[in-house]
Amino acid sequence: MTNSIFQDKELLGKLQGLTVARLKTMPENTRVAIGSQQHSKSDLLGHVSKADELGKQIMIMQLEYLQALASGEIYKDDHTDHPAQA
Amino acid sequence: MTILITRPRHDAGNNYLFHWSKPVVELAGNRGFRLADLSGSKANRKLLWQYCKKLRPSLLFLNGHGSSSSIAGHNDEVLIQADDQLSDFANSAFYCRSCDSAVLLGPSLISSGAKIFIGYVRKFIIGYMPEFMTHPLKDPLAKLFLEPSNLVVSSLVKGNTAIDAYKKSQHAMRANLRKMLSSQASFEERYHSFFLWSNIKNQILLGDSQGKLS
Repeated sequence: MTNSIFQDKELLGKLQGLTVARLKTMPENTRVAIGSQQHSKSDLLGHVSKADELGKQIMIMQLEYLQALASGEIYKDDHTDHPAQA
Repeated sequence: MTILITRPRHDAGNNYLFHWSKPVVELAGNRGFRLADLSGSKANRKLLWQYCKKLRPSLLFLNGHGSSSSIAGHNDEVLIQADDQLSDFANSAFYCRSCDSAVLLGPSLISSGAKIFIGYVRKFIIGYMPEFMTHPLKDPLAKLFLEPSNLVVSSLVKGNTAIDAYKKSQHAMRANLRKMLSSQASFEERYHSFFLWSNIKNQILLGDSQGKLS
């Protein structure tokens, strides 16, 4: 699914627009540490706008989060949907 | 039993991991575990392998930057990678609080005889507020991300099985997520919920799910 989104320019544009809109609502006084980098709101917006590797990862995070909100998965408290791997 | 901890502190993300590992270090000490605490510049490859060969730790709690095939320490020196002689870690449990290392390093450790591996198949993310940079344990945003991750180790130290340690961490992350989505949440907390969701979805357990520290 991930690759097909990024190969489809129309889908990529929609996901980019959605992610940018949501990131713009973030507070200015926080940071996120992702790997060895620390990112401000404007850093995150820059990565998503450029659709670089980190930007794509943030778009996928946002998409998966919204899908989980819509499906109600986010409010479940069991682990049957995400079992530990034996 | 011995617990080996790496906690470099050469950048902001690692500094948060360094400080948030302290409560777990203290708990393990209070429970009578022997501790090999490789903090700061001691979190290097030479010392880690020396300690592992000598002490054969039951648990390695590794904080630092990671890739799919490795985990790093001070100044991002690679400490363990998938093509190392991983049989030296036979019967050990691992919690790698790092990005990506559950993709290849975790399976390689398990196939080489490690008992348990808990880690992340994508980025491990910490939300934080720079005003707390010098007092990370007081950062209310970082607490939502790091307190539940500490539960992996504290649960294993208390004698829980791997699956119970994993579930306790998952449960605590989900409880924090619900708080972040509620009307009780601060502005800062609410807008970082999707990062915590990513940590929830990408934390996995490999190996003996019924295993305990031994």
